[in-house]
Amino acid sequence: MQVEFQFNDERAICDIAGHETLLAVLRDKLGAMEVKYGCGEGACGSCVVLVDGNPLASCITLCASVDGTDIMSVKAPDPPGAWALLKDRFAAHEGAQCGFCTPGLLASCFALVQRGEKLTRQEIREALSGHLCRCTGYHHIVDAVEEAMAIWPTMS
Amino acid sequence: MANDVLTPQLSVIGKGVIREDVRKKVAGEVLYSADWVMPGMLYGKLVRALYSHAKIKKLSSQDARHVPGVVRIIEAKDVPVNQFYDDPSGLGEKVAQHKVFQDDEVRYAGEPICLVIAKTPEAAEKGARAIGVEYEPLPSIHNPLDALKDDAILVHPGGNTVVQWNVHKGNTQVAIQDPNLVHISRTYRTQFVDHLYLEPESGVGWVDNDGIVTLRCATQVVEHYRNIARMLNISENRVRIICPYVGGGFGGKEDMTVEPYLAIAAWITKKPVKMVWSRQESLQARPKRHPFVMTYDLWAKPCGDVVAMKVDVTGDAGAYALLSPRVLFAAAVVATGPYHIDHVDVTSRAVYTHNVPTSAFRGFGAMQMAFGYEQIMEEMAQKLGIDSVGFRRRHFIKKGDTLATGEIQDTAVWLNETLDKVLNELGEAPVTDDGSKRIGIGIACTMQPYGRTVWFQDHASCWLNLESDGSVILRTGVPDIGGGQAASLCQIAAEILHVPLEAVRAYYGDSALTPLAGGTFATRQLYMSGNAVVKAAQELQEKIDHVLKTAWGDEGWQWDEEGMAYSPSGLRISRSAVYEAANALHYPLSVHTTFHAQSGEGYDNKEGRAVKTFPDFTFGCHGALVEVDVQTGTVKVLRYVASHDVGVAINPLSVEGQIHGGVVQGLGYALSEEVLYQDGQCVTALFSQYMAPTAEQMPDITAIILESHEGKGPFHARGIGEPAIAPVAPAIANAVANALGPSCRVRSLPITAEKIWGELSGLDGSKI
Repeated sequence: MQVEFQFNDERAICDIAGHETLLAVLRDKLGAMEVKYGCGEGACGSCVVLVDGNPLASCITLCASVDGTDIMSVKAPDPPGAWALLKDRFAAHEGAQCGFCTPGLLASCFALVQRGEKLTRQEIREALSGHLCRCTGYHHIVDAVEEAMAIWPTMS
Repeated sequence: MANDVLTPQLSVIGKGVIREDVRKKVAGEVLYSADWVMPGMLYGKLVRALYSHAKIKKLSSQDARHVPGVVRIIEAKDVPVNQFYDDPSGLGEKVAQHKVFQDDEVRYAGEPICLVIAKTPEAAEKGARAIGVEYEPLPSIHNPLDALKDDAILVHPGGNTVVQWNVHKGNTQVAIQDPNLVHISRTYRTQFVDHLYLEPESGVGWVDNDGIVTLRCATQVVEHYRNIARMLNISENRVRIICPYVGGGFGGKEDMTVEPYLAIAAWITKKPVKMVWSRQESLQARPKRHPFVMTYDLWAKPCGDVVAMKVDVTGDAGAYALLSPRVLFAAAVVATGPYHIDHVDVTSRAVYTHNVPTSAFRGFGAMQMAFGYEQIMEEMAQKLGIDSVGFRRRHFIKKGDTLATGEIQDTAVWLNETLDKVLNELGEAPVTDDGSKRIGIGIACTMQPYGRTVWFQDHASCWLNLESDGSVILRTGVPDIGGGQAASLCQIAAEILHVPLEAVRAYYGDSALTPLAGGTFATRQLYMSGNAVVKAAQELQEKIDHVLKTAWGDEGWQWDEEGMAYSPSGLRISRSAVYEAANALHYPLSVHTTFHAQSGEGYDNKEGRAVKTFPDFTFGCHGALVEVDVQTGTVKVLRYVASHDVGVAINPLSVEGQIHGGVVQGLGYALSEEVLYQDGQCVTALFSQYMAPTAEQMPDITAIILESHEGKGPFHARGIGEPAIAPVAPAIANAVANALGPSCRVRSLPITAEKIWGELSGLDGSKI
């Protein structure tokens, strides 16, 4: 079957089998290696991308189900600068160490920041509970997100 | 402050600089091992044993060969040397490790049997399912204590004891005769846990233009190329391992994972082959942390003086030795903790079972012991009716003390300092009026080695040179597993060479092109490669100074922030001018050097004594405030404080990151994580069944970094990677016990709600 969607502002038309996951199509057909395979169960969050603005685990999302959607990864064009802001704050606070969970994690953070959320540290922790990070202990991640949330309204 | 080595005013060291690798990682620009793609690439899938102990009667691959897309089945007979050997204790005892492919007697469920190579991952998977293995199941043994009995089933013909280490100090037998001594005996148990790094075991192997077997894979040790050469029976100069940024290691990528399979597949097919292990095979079959059974006997005078300690440790090695001898050695060395005790007997042993093999994991045997010694000290204080903090302080080892092994602690021991900080920050336990909740406070003080045992003759090399434009290239074989291993080395080079940090570029982790640095394990990389870079940078700077003086005269040269040399007389010389001058003088500005760690004699296991075991230790204290729900037994960590003396923090932001990460991995170990096996079969083989902590369950962590300026690393730094995890489980155990009240204590990990509820029910069932 054929699916068509926007990926990082470019049109993607892919011939796929019905069982193919969005993760497999993004990586193997579109070369989007920033989307990571971490567990294949939708449990670790490393493969999360934004589908119409909502964070989704691409490893348990059938590609057939995203026809007509707008999909973004951490490499999406970024005129408003929300990705850039998050990346900068994550780097400044060392919110990544090995960095493997980071692109997926940033997708969820992007959704939060762009919605204009202002959350407490505990609420940020709850909002990111679909992501596992094994290196940072989360503290620096929360620092980065908290700061990005505070700065974003002044940028947008 | 005693910063006697290099410059009195440090410009880059000690600054929380932003790591360039982190910038690349957050931008999604890093291609990890599984992200590599080559033309005509094939895919490999392992067939793994279903039984924990069985004879393989027959292997039939006929059906698998007919699966569309399957290219080749690789079995034991296809491997030139199908057996790995090693000397894991380093004392000259060669032991047979695992086979590449088991073709005779399966010793654990998940042991690799053969490899299916196909054009797509799906075809490889289908092919693997079509392989027929006929087994004759055999009785198996899974409890290491049972495996020690005389009539136990043997896992290997030589007996089930892999190794036994002894530490003796003083004369325990005589010392404990005093009838006035208070004696307690307690047994503590730890569980199987998984590293659960986010990046699965993965890589691509190919044979390059020159016939070199090349592996680009996730590993902590590029020196495994030597094992691969032995397996293929080819010369070591024909295998190359390239290690891109690794998506987490924690010891789990220290033993080989995909390496032999990528190599044999590329060698036989002459095509690039990719392999990514599924999370299920990783959880089921890749080595875990050793479960320990630790029995502590402690004798003290009623006044609170410890007289003697006996420790008996049994570690489950699983089916193959791997690094068990070293893990149990580290356990033996620190078994008595950071305490000065006159009479000590320690026995630690690793035992074969038909369980999954166990091996390296952050903390490496030493961290399990903290769960023992930090509880027995607490329990003794309770028994004596004295303050447990004061009891610890009375016995803390000090610089210059003789440790249990007989070696002298020759650097600063800031246990009191870290303890003070933690107690101060933790404050008093708040009072709760909620009858269903109890608050508890607990601490743990620990010591953890950094660097390898001294008889391994550890060394690390690097190559540093000035480029024609004045930039600096650092080549080092360091695998960067996420801790900023390469970035810290750039900071060190920049500091000594007086150049801006951006001027230094590290090329890392390539066994053919970067000088070998040894693996990233044992909290050794900052210590080893950091010292190598100090040595290289000092030599290079001397050369630069020499060129300056020769070409422009002895002008009392100094360096500005841009890395330009200037003289009081007003000369300004760029580094590219220095480069040109050096060329004209036939004086290359390039240094290749090796740092050799403090080395020493092998351990005297008969006497249980050593002149030196590890180069040094990192000390620290953690404290936790917890809330226990007495109706459900659940634990909530309200506050967590961690303090370590790191000698000098090269990058305080990264040091803090190591402490935060160690604490959270430790909290998972303490409260929720366990890989469960039933008769050797993994029953928690899904990622979602393994309870690693997510952000919402974790508290903010207060990390307090102290700097004694007395480490043995560069600029007197100490290692922090492993030390940060050691105190967590005992601090939590002590806090939970404090919340539960006297005579209630969970002595096995993880400290689950179920176990706590059980303790509480035993105490007073009417309250539940």
